Amino acid sequence: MVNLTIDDKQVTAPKNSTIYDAAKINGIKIPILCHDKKLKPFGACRMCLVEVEQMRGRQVPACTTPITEGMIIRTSTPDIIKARKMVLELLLLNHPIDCPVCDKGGDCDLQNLTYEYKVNANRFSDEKFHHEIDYSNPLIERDMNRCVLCGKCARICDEIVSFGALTFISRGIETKIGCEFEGSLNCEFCGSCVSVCPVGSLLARPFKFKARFWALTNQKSVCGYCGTGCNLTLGVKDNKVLTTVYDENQGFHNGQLCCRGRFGYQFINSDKRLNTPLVRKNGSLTEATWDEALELVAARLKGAGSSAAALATPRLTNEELVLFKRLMETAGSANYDHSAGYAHAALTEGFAKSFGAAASPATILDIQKSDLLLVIKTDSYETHPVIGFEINMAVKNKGVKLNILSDKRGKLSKLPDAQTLVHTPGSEIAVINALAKTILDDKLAAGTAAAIPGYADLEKALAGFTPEAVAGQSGLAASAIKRLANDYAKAEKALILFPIGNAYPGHNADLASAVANLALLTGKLGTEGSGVLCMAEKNNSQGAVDMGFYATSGLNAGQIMDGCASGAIKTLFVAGENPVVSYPNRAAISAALDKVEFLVVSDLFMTETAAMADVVLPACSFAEKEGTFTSVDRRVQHIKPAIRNIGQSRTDFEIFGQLIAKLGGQAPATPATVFGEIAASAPGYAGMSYASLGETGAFAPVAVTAAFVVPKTVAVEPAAGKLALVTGSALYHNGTLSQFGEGPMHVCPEGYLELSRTDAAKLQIKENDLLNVASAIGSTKLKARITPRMPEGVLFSPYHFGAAAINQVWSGAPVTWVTVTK
Amino acid sequence: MNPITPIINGLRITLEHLFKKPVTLQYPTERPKVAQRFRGLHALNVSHDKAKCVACYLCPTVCPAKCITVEAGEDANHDKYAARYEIDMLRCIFCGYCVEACPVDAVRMTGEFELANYHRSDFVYDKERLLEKK
Amino acid sequence: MNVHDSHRADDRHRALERVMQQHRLRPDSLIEILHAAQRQFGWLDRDVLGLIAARLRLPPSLVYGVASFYHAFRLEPPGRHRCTVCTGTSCHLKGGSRLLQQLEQHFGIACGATAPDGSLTLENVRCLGACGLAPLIVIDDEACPHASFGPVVERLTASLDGEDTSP
Repeated sequence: MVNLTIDDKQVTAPKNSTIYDAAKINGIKIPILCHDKKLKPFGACRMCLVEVEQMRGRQVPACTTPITEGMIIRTSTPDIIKARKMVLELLLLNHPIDCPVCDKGGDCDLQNLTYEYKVNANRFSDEKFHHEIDYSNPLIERDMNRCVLCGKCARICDEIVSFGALTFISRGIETKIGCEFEGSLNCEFCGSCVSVCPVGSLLARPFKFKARFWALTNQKSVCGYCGTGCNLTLGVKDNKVLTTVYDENQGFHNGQLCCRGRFGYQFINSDKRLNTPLVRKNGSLTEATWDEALELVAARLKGAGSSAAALATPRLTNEELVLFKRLMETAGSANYDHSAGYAHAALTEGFAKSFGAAASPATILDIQKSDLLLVIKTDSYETHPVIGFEINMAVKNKGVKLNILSDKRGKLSKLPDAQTLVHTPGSEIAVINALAKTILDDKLAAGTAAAIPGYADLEKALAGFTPEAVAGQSGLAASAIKRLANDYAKAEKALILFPIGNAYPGHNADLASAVANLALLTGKLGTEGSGVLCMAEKNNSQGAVDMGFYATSGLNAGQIMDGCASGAIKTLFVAGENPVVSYPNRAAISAALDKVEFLVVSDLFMTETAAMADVVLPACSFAEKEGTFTSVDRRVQHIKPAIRNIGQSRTDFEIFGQLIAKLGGQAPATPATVFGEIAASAPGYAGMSYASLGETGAFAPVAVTAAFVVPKTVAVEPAAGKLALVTGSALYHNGTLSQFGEGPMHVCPEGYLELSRTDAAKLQIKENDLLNVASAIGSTKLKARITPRMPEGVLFSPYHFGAAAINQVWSGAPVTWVTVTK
Repeated sequence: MNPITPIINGLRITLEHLFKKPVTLQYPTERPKVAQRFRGLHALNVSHDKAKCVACYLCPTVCPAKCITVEAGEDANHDKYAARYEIDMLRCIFCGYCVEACPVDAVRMTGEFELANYHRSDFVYDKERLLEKK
Repeated sequence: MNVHDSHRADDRHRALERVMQQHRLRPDSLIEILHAAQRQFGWLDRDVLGLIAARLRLPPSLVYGVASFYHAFRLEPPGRHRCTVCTGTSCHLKGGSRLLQQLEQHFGIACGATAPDGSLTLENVRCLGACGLAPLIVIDDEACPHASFGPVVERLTASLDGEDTSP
């Protein structure tokens, strides 16, 4: 700590902090326009000038000057105020001052400072700018006439998002922020630039002219898309979520969000939301009362036993999942599952055996504290973009080494010094086994490894996985495998990251075991910056696992579908899932749902699955309910309703509670009661309560009981003349819900098929050609997207879309062999 | 006191008023002269055949009676305009803060004071009705 | 590609690639590489800047930003003839700036711009370091010391006309 005096106040601040930081932590406000706590100091705006006595009263920028022992600083002498006034006058010289029509009004740093410093007139005069305003994309409006050139947008895009869409162009009076060749913005549309802009140069178009900032009620919540568990502030007016509001002090990510988090909120107040319960009468769904609908469902569930089954989306709160499970148990059935049954296997089967806990022994916070990251699939960026930002920052700011094992290249591969090993699709487990084998052969294993149960079996099982043997099948050089194994084992701290989800059937229990073996062999576990982080797909996927909402004694999702098809399952209750789109093999799923006698769907929207139902119950979005979500690193976070229920919709908590009551059970009154039960029973949740979770949430610790498990490997046999199709997540989407978010749909409105330049040339395919993709189970038509990231012979397609869905082609195997024709 | 004196005083006052100009008006045949700064019904100023209002939301913000409803819209040139502008005259207290707050001189108060109507809904003046009469 | 002969383009790309390799594709050698590219191609077009960005793993916007910052880099094709007027202190006092104005008017091109037919680029420079020769004008790398309006126009017109008759 360093002692210094600011405005005659004795204060202390950590070493290496700047005058601005030191003042801020001691509650002294220094005005600034170009600072954001996530970004490196820049010193562009000159608003933060302060006087330092030791520098003979010279005015220095507080944001770039480091503190020294005994510094005496004055932040608001008459001279400084005069200087700041002049800075504002100069900034206002070219600023259009169109506050009445500028959406930033009320939330604008320049406006606030002008008001605070009473800059009513300007001693200077100059022409205003006449830059063209960029309206070319539906999400971000760029009006460079209002720009004060603080550079925050360009810096956040480079330092955190690592995209670099914006930069300073030209110099002197002609300087402006823009894209290459002064073209229009074509980026990830995460909106980070919009969030940090201190003036109205960058604005969110979906919120344009919707409301003034002071008219909004800010409601803190947790994002309802992926499992990262980002905190959100929802801007609410008249029971409508109108925008997301940036708060740099929120969450581990300091308010940083991705495209879907920031721009995908429109599903909450969508016109397409279901308002009333629907009951199928004479073949068509007709409006009904809640009593009528619930009575019907209760009658079907009563005493149904194992002929009833349930599928839930892991977007429900922990409390709702517990209640749903109780509902099924009251009905006498143990058939319940989520995420297609296989998408949680990495946790519930893999980690459960290897670590003795169905959770990841690492947190997102470890990413920046590690020395080496091993990322399985570049898709980690697309599935969890804010974790991707953490990786960007770790690599760019902390010098963390990044190694990627993937079947294609991706944005992560472009990071400085990132090593990407591109293997043939489906061979990741073999490669990881080869890494383990190298570690064993090169005597790089930690001393503690031999004592872990299963060591001998593993050693024996790995015999065939020499780097040379795996090299042939994986398309990697043996030397590359050896180098990666050495780097991983020799790094002091190393973290493995891999995404799981409906679209990643290859990321199964065996992959989880293989990865766990690596960490256990080298002892990269249990310390800060080391471990394995399995990134589950949806916002409460980890919670669904923790609540035990998966098949233990009953049927899993796949078997439930088979049961529906064979007639063994007569009543199926689907809460929020959309199996018709998100489960592989659409034809089989549709046939099964057609066959089942009674299908109940509770959902926000009339999804493809809901359209087949006998009873449709309108449910509530995360913005309307209370409960807890558990993120991928087991951070349990409490959400409160931001708006009242839309229409007649009810939360799933209410729906399940009322059904339990109708079946003669005892329904808990509030989510808090249920959370009390969770705290008493779920491992790691002990001692938690809504009050103790607070705003930041709390981590449920993971107790590891290590064991080596031999992963099964299934060799992927290439089919002659066919291409390997791998499915996955698009950056702008998560599950099927983001189809109802306007932002994501503006940027990525439909499915596509990514293919390599070589394949495109061979098949004479041009960008945006409509392709017929056919596999053994069916075919679909998708637009071609030719990208340099795909290796030859490999195709990629995202799975989120109901129209031209890839699951008409994709059988559920990690790799589907397809033919592509024009 | 002499009981007659107050009566005489009263009659004197009555008599005096008989010769003064009456304060009352024979409304509606006689019309009052409305003062320049009288705060009556609002009007939206027009410039270049368009309402001057840019929907900055300052008037609904400053309104103590919360009687103004504004909804902004984006026109073809991406400019901001008031897609909806309503004043509920039943709630309005005619304080004139809206006029004072307006940064573009888009709203003023006229001398119009005859606001009686048959239905409550008729007291909600929408943008069409508020637009300056030519 | 642009106006350059296409059969030489490959050579130029090879030369640029060689320079980039010499700098080991280091992003901090960007300015050197831009100079090398300009030497090869005469100016920096979209394709070249895009290629450099891709090879150095830099965002295209940043490469463009750097190129637009320095006046030394040309982002538009130069004319076939170049007339550079020195407007440094000595040349200015000796009438260099006035000369520039006259030339602008005569040829109808603004300073820094190229004639629409691509024949002539008119530009100024702050000092050529030959103040003794003020006012100095450089026409196609050839210095015209103690320049005055008449001879310069004559000289330029001759170059432009000479070009018209040549194949």
